[in-house]
Amino acid sequence: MFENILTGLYTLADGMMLFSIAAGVIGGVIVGILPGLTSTMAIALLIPLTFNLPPHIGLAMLGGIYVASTYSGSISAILLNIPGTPASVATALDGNPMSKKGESNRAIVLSTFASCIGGIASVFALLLIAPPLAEFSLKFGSYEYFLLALFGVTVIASLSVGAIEKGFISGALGLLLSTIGFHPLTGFTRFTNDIPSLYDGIPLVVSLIGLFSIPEVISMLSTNSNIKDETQIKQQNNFAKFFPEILQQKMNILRSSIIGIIVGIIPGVGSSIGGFIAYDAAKKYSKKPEEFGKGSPDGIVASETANNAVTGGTLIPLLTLGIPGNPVTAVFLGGIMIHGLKPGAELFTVNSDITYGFILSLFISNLLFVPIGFLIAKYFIKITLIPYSILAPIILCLAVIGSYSIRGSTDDIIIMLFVGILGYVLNFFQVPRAPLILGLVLGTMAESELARSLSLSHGSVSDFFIHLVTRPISLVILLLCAYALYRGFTQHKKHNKG
Amino acid sequence: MYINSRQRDKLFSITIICFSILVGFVLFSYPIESSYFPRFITFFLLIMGVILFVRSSISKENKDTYDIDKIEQIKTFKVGGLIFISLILYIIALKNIDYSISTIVFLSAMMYILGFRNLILNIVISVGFYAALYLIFFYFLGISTP
Repeated sequence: MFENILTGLYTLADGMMLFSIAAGVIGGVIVGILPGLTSTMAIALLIPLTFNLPPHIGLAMLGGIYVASTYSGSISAILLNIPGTPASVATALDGNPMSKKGESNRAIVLSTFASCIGGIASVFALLLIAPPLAEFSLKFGSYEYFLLALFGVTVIASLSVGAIEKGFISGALGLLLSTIGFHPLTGFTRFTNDIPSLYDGIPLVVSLIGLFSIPEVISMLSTNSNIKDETQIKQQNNFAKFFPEILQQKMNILRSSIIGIIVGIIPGVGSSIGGFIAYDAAKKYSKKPEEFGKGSPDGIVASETANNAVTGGTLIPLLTLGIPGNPVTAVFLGGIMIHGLKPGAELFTVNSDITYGFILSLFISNLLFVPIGFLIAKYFIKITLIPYSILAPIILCLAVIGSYSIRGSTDDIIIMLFVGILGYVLNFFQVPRAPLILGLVLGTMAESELARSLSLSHGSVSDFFIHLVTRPISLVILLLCAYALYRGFTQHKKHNKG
Repeated sequence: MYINSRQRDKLFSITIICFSILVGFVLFSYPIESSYFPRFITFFLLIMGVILFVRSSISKENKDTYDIDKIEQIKTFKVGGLIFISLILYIIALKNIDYSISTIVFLSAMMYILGFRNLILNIVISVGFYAALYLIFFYFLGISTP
């Protein structure tokens, strides 16, 4: 592993790599601050741009966006009580009351350093846990990979609490969309209507762009929650004097980092849940629990440490097993796959320069958003005043050029539009879109591994099932699938009772 | 059209049931060895559609309760229609006219329609954004224009 880290450091030393990290972090901080723009949308829109860059540079840029946008949602949560991203919802509970007391700078310092430490802790976890897990994945055959895809799909149950049938419908639609084009073994074309652009299936990135940009634009224009009052925004200065306070929060940071990493590793839980669990734990162990909700520094630190610790945690199952635990990592998986990379052991052996370069770039990203976050909080918080009448057409133009640039085909723009209409319809019927992405991403893997497994079982369905329950690893994954479904259903029941 | 969440679930489930029946018919025209996976998914989709229909039919939710404001629901339709029609026109224009002209016109027109009426700034932003797109995608990354 030490050799691989050195290779990664060598990759990191590239000037272009550092430039792309900085660009990703700046873009991520801006996207995170702007309510309505999600990191999922930003990554989906930027994948086409990174497609033409070398893989390590492209991935480093996407990583920068991911960690920086997760952090910077807290800036608007603190200053305006509008969480820029779902991850910062728990931060707003104490961040905004502290800001209203005239202590905006203190809240921003606490959230920035807590995010930085939580993020770095999670990258250490990624560096230490991912390689042995990837090595273990070498023992996986077609049966296990099919079940892994199935396990990814069962995550839908916990992604759709409160609307479990709709979640499964959305996931099934994603799986069905993934079957458009050639069958992986027989080569027979399905649902293509003799349109050559569909022979290879719906391009993942094009559908991600359509699904996340168009419905978001419609939603932001319909709700019109744009910030109009300039007095809501206060100038920020003197960040440095609050730094020592973060050092008094050692136990809170350690506990929240561990919570964030574990929550990140479990697929389908997400950074907002990580923030809330850590917030709740901090309240339980705090000497002043009565201050929570009224501007408690412990609450801000717990929520921010945990939500950034989730980022590295979610990348562990993604890079080692190809399981995206949340919509952002599902999009990220698309970003990895368009570079011809396959999650698993190969990523840590054959492509170790790219993978370790990417993991190490996350350290830089987590450090870099500290000065960039302060700078932007100080001067550029006014970007939240950009009217949606300007922002919406710009996002649409980016969606169009982004879809076109993948294969240089205008047909892809039309595909993006159709997927956008599907996303809009799902939004209208209040159907979660994240399961559709999971289905779309995992569908190809599920179908091709199922076809291979069945061919290994000589077409016998009973042999196939016997193999599933007699192979130790596949049996464990099968039990995990059952547990994930059980957990999803119990959460759903609890939610309905509540 | 103004519907409550119960009616919305019902309408969605009927749409899914019809869709899965239609897809099912198409799938049965394909050889089994190339379509067993989508057939299974479609069958699952049909089952989930039926479950959702039954659940929404027996739901005790008051028919008069609406979870989305009427004005907001109508606005969503209007905005959705505007966005899709404008995107269709934009795609037709960039296929038949020229990418640069259609992009600048699309940006300016959309900003104006959505309420940004400062014409000079509108044109400056449109041209500036197109220039940035040109630099990044066509000059820097070497992609050919649509």
